[in-house]
Amino acid sequence: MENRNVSTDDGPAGTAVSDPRAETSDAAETAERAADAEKDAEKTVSAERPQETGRAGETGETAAEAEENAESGGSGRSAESTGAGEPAETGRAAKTDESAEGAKGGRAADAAADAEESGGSEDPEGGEDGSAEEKDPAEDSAGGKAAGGKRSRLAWVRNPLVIALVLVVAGTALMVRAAQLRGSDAAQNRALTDVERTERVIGDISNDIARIFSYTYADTATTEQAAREVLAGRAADQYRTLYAQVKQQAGKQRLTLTSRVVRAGVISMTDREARLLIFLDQTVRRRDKPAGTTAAAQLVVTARFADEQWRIVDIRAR
Amino acid sequence: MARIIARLPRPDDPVRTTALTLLVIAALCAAWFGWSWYSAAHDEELAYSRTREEVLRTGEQAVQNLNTLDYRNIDAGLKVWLDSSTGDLNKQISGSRTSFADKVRQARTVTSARVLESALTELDTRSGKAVIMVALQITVTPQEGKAVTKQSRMLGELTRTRAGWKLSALEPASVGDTGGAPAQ
Repeated sequence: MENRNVSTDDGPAGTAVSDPRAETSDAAETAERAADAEKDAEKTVSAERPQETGRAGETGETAAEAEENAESGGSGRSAESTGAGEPAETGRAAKTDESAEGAKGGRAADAAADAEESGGSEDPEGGEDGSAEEKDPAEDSAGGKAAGGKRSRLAWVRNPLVIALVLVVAGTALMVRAAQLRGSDAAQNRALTDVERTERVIGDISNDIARIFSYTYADTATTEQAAREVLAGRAADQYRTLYAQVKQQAGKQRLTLTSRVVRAGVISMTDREARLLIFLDQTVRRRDKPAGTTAAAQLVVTARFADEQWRIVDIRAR
Repeated sequence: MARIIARLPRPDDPVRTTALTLLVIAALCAAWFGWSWYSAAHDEELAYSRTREEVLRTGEQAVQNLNTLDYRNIDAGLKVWLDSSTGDLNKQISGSRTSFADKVRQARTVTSARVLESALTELDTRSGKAVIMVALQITVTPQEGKAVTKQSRMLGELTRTRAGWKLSALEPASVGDTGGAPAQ
């Protein structure tokens, strides 16, 4: 609270207070609030009001603060508390300064965040206060007091705001961390974590691959039909080109190709796309080699999920 | 908290109301984000996917290690093989270590491997077992003559040990195999 007073002082100090009433009420009010639970402090203030208005207010305030300090056991504020303990000295400017200083020191720790936060909002208030009051050269401290009262009012606000700020900062940090955890590539990849979908895509794509890479010279249409159903995009284009050649050869050489998926695994899978590694055995039988020869192939197959169906959009041999 | 409230201006004060509102909003946000973080950090699926990545990486490296050997530095090479393996595979390697080293020294070959693609087909984090399939390229360079590069495919079983995941079985997924993994 004092912290602000000190800083605000610069501004309102020029337009110091001379109206005892205004000051009194203000200070009293402040004191009242500061004391809050402490009715005694309030009483003191009102009792002293006629003679030493400004100071009474201050005293009340200081007393209240002392209370506060005692409660918090704050180190920086011990100076203040001591001052409050001696009513005789309360009114003095020196005392005021001292307590202001003490407050300053004590709150230095709070400093950075508070200063930033409170700086903007306090200043205008401090300014208002100062202008509302008249100038009194004799009482330099008066301006300080009035401003002090305002500040202490704001000071109550400060802590909740600081806490709010801390909460926001901590919350943001946690949110960022959570987003990192959930947004990582590993987390986005649902291979094996979503067992059902992993099994489904493996089953579907394995079937599809076996169908489109199996044909017999006697019936090439079945395979073509299968390809139309399961292929899309680049894979469909490539397949058409390839299959046109195969059809020519198939008839002449009585070709039969049988493909069998040995093993398939999901490299990565999201809601819409999956990449699979497929180990394939391909057996080719020809008129001159009816027993056939079997070759191994390793394919990386990319599939997209749309209209409730996985369609192969890319096939690459590895 | 009581002290904070005690310090607040009176209810009719708009500053107090604003401060309180901000505080409550901030507290709610912090609680929500805190929960969000907590649930993410303790999410079993997230932990599982992290393990999956770790096992995959380790498995790839181990398979590559076990397909790499330089006859000029055979002891160090076989040490890496032993470090990358556990269980039966480890026993096999250490059992045939001497004879195998002799063979490679005679053949004077340098074998290196590069993993082209890999995927886990099984991962049981409880029992600490996983099955990896790997497409890899193996290059064998004899002392004289051209290097020979071939595509290869392998199935490996990984087992969790105190020193991390290690290969406990590794076999080529040879043609005509009915798809039985080493694990099965």
